[in-house]
Amino acid sequence: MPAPSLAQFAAEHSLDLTRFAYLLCGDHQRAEDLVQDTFLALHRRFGDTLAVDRPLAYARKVIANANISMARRRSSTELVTDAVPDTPAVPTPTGAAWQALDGLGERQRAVLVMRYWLDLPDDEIAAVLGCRRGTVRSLAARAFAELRDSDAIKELS
Amino acid sequence: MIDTELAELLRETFAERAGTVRTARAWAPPAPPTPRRRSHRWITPLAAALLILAVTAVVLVLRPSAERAPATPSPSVSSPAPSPTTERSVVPPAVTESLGWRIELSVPGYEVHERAAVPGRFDTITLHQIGDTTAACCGGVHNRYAVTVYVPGAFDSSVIKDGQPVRINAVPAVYGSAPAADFDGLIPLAQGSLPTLAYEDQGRWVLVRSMEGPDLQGMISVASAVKIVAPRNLRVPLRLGYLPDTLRPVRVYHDLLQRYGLTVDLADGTLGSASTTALAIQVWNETGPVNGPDSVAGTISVDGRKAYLLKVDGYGLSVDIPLGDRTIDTGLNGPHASEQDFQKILTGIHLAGDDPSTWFDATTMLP
Repeated sequence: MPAPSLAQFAAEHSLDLTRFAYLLCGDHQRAEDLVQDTFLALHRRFGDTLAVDRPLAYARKVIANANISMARRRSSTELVTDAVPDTPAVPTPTGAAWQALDGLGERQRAVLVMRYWLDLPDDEIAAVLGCRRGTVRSLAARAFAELRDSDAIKELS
Repeated sequence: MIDTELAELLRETFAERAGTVRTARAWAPPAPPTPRRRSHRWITPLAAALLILAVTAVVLVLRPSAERAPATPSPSVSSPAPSPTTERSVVPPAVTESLGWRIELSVPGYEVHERAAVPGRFDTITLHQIGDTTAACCGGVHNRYAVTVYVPGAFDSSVIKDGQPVRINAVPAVYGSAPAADFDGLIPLAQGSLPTLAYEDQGRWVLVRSMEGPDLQGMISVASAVKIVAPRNLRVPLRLGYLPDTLRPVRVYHDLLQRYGLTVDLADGTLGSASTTALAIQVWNETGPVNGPDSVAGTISVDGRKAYLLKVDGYGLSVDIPLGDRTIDTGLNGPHASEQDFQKILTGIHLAGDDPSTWFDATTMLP
């Protein structure tokens, strides 16, 4: 099968990749930036033709790693604020889960997104994150433990 | 909230939130750079003339020494390996002959981090620089080099691009770049290509890859230290009394520095998708259920020892068997083996003692 063009790939997968990025970072604007940066990185590396095995997996890898890097930078530059975001008085279960996900590390969250939204097996998640399969499992287990301990999830029980 | 409920809640949450992204920004490739105005039109012909003069001079200088050189075959990136078979879906031949490694390597300042092998295809080790505290993405150990030895015919040297001939201890070698993706997820190397030094030893291609960009001298040092020895098999803490006919070991892995320990993956004989592993046997360097106590669904007995039955969402059935200060974690991975088969496998397990000196040669672990 011939390698797809970047333009064709972007047209077909922009939306799904933006959703993936949004689930990883929880911010619409940042998700769009991550995807644009990813396409730019693909263009720099491959030009107009994506001569790479499994370009979608490759793009996800770039997004996941860029999000982790971005989060590191963010943690050292963001300011603390007293402003409290609007939240419903009684959170829905999914709202509570979404809130609880914010307490996870980027890698833990990425594992959960890939496992429960993309339904990827652990080997593929490991390949995307560039880690070992056992690490994926550990990250997932710890993420579950942290979610269960979070106030948002406890309030649901 | 139990794991299955939490997993279901996550599925709902992700689906709901993903639905809030209804559009994506269109992608437009960046405009090509505007050509710089050429204000000095005489530069190009002058540079061309200088280049011709320089090349001529180099040829004149090098020619006599080239004529004196011994007639050793210089390596060529396009010369094929003896019988290239890079097809990843081929059933590895004679998989039970060796479940270990042929590479012996001692490089001052470095230690072996991981060993991995796909029987019938290749084995690989990674090297970590002693004292290097640069954490890898998730494992905490930063690999500097990877060394791979292929079985004869299992490596197609034409994948090496931009190769330049070099020599390692007078042996012809090629220095170029080659794809890193040959490790089925067990040793994560870089995506794409890596600087690669390759040579043939007794019909086996040996590849040294650098994780830190081009580093010819360092790679030559590593390559010079590589010894190919008789296979030294992995030692495992159990034997299997039963295994479905369709399953065989397809990958073995040993992490010498971290908690992950060792792994034997069994599958239906086909590689090509990392997710085809049917049964994974892992030995973790820690005690207790490796997924934490919340995942324990009950206890069972395996070869007279207490073991934990685990239900982890996203996995099939799995069992953790404490063994001294380690834990054997074995479980189904995907739909390639049934729970009935797994029950029979558990019933047939014969455990070694807590002391690793009592463990079995991996080639004897199969029924």
